[in-house]
Amino acid sequence: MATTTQNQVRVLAAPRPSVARPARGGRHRSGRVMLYVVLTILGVIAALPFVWMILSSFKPEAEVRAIPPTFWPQEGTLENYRKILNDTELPLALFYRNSAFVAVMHVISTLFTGSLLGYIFAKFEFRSRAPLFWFILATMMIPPQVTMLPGYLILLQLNLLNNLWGLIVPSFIDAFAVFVMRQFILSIPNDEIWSARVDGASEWRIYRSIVLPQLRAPLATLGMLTFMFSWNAYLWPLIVLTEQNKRTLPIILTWYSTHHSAQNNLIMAASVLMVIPVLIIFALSQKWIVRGLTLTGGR
Amino acid sequence: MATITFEDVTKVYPDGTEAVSELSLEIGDGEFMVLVGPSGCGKSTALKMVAGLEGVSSGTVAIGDDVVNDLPPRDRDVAMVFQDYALYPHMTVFENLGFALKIRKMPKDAIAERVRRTAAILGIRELLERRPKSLSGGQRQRVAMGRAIVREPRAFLMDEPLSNLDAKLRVQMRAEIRRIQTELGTTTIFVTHDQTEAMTMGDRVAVMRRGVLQQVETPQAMYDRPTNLFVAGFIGSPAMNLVEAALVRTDGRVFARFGSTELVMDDAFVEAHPEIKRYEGGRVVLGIRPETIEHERFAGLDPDGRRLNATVDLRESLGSEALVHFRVDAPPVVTEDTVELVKDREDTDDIDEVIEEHASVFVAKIDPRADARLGQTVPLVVDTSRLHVFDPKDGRAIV
Repeated sequence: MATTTQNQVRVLAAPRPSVARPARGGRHRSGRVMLYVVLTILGVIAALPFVWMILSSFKPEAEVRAIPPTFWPQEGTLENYRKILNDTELPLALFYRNSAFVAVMHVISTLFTGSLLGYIFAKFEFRSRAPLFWFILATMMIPPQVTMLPGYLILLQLNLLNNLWGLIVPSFIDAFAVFVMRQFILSIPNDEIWSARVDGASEWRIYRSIVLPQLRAPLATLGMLTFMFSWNAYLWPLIVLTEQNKRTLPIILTWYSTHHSAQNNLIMAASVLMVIPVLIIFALSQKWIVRGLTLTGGR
Repeated sequence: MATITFEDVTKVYPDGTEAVSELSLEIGDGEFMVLVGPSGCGKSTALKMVAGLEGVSSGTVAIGDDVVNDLPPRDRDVAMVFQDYALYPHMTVFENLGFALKIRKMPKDAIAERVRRTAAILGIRELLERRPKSLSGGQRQRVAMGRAIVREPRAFLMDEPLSNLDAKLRVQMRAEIRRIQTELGTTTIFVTHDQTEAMTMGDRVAVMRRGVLQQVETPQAMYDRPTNLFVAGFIGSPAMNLVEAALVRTDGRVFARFGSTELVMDDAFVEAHPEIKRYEGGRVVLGIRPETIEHERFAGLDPDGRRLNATVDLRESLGSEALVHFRVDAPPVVTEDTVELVKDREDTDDIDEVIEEHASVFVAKIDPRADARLGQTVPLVVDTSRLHVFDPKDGRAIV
């Protein structure tokens, strides 16, 4: 009797999931396929100009100008890179150095001031805290073109024109960074700060040992974005740095179009050279973002 | 180790809220003092003022002989345990425990030694390399305790450290905290809203209400002689039964009448408390502890003049005793104190319903063998030598 019942149960139970599963799973899967198709199309559209740039950098000048254009290089060549790297007029290494210096200083100063001010606005109570915070936020609403002329005049007075510090100092404090950091620091419980205070930590120590380590993910993200913006900045550096040997890397984009008419094959190769460090930084910080998330997440 | 002294301490927030009013309280060296009261009574604020996390508006807070009003938290040498434990999530348990020592620039091996010793006391040695995220609530609580113990401070300040634990663990940790504190002999202020925690843990208990200290006593003395209606209703579980009654003297004996019930006050009781005389012919609030009401069969008292007939609304059997809920045909006591108590206990603002019903709900703790089934009318007897009497106007205890 018992075995019969068991068998019945088994027989009854067995088909049910096998009937139910394909229907549910099928709907699920087709939705997922659609999602991937859409995402793939969008991804291809986004990547196309980038791929085009890389492929074109391996084409000789004639092929770049050819109509109809070719997608894959017909006769792949490294000549463009060779020309740029051997261009005696172009101080490429210096431009790299200048750009790297400015970008790294930007990242350091933005992360430092952003996290410190964010901590202060998030966890300290003082008179006019709110208005001051809104004032800092309001600076984000001003178009940068508006401040270019006054900014230029101030740098002139400070004797910082044609000086890399002239790029770094004005953006020492970034309103966006302060805002983002404040939002993240708000999520750290007050009790933790208080506990550290009672444990004997100074305010500086709390910032360094309790607050900063919990900000790995946002710091990595913000650092990467800041690096990218700084590395790609073109107009403001062009205004502040007029001497050839003080310039930053984006200037090479115009190097082969203004001085010797537009040589698109060289411009493409120069673009690739310019983008490489950003890619490296992105790859590195992406690892940090993931690690940061696993450390602080799920608290 | 040190004493902690509040002297006329007042805390007023910038928005004008007075969180603590003229608090004067001395906590002895090595004493376990529990600050208890409903939420918003100022107990946590008082604790934070000792820690230095809140400023003092007026008066003085002293640890040992030092007035610490203007001392930053790190110079006070006290350790605090927070309700949510406040463990540093990016540090291992070892680093959490050692953080305060590291700040004090203690040598590494000395830190390791102390951390290991503390971990042994709390039984968390195998957790030292884990991060708080991977610990259970009880383990986190232990780590939080450990962080306080490891520093060997002058005082422990605990802000509702057990309220996030489940009931069973709470009881266990209650005993454990008390054991460790007794072993170390460290002066402790323990803040809670749970009167059971207060009664079971404190050497003395301080009841606060709306920023004002109501009474400081040993748990038993506070239970036996509450100073006012608020303390009477707050301390004890189930709570004291309160009802408004008329005091009448007939044939040389004092009667307390409420609804259809008439209790004769014990002669010795009346003699021992001459103040009762002043209320004869007037009204008082009568307080009856649940355990002083017993089934006639098990009371061992003459039921004459002590009888209270009750129709059972609810019976809770606890094994060793039974709680019987019943209605008394007399209006409930509605004063600021009792309203606040009901709000606190029922966790509701809707107390009008209770008042509208125009009946007081009483609870009696009776012998489990007593025949008291739902809906049945049961002959109960009140021990009239253990009554509490309060002034109906200001809630002050007359007896």
